Amino acid sequence: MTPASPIEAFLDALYDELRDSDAATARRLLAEAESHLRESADALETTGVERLEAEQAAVERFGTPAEIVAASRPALHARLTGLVAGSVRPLVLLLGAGLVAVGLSGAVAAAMSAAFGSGFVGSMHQTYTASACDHFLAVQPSATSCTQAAALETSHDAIALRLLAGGLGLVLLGLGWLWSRRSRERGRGYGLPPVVWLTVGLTAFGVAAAGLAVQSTDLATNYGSDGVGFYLSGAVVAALAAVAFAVPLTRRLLPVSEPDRAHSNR
Amino acid sequence: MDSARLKGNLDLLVLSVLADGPAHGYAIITMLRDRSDGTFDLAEGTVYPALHKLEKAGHVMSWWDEGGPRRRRMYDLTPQGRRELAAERKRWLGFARGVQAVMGVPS
Repeated sequence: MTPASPIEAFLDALYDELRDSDAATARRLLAEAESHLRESADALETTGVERLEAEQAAVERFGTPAEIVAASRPALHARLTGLVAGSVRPLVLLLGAGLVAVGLSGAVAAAMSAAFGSGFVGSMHQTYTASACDHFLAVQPSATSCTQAAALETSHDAIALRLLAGGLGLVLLGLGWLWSRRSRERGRGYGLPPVVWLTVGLTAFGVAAAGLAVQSTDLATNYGSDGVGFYLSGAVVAALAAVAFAVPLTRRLLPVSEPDRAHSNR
Repeated sequence: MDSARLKGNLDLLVLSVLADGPAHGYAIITMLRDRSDGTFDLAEGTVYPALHKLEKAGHVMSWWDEGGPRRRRMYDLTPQGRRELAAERKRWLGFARGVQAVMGVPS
């Protein structure tokens, strides 16, 4: 259907041009443009100009839809800065989540070590040199053999270093959260969509969980329970983290059914 | 005046017009044209993105005025906007004095 007036034709064109803008900006710009154009045309009409010509003149003075939309976009450097920040921010959060997962695996390893003995986590199935044995026995004086001292030391190191990484991860998550909140308050919404980062997180943790589970199974098959906890603790936490990324990702990807939508709108 | 130079100073011009009191977009653009004797004749629609950016920066506030025959978005300076206008005005006057001095134009 042909638009009834130049103003309506212009608003249709502006609506098309605004399709990549956020809904609130588009709605407001359209409403303000319509109000402005009708007022401008009314003013011209009072000077004796025909309505159609008045509307045409009002539209010409308003500028083209492309010109208006271009002016509503931030400057190129602001967009680039926003895009870089919008991409680095999720990376900081992902790195933080990864380090927190490492820390949690340290806690799980500590629980496994307490429950099944330090050999379940720390036994590495390797032969140590005499000097290495001397070192292990010196730092683990309660051990009665080189193998036991090495297992205790490996277990302690694994737990302590992982917990340290977890602490660093919490700091990164906190910084990333503050950065995100500040960006939201300033209305800077650039970067890749959340679906991308959720997919990256799911893939990273999923691959880690699978790899560590394979390693644990391999150890259990070839050497029994010794050293299995070293990898199993990581596999358990990585699997849980993968689920934590999979749930919101699934919610975003699956279409919301009408009854659910009606419920959520209430 | 060339449009690039005008666009570069649009924020200052819009804030200056709003210093006289609340106004809607059409009135702002009309005042800009009238006060400049037609020198500032930019595409009228570009004033809205400028107003939206000023609002996002906290320099102006806006609301819908439903009172008249037509629904209009009204804009007014915030206290922060008044401070920004004063600072921008000072910068502009300093710059203009410098340019005039270099060009040998008596101020």
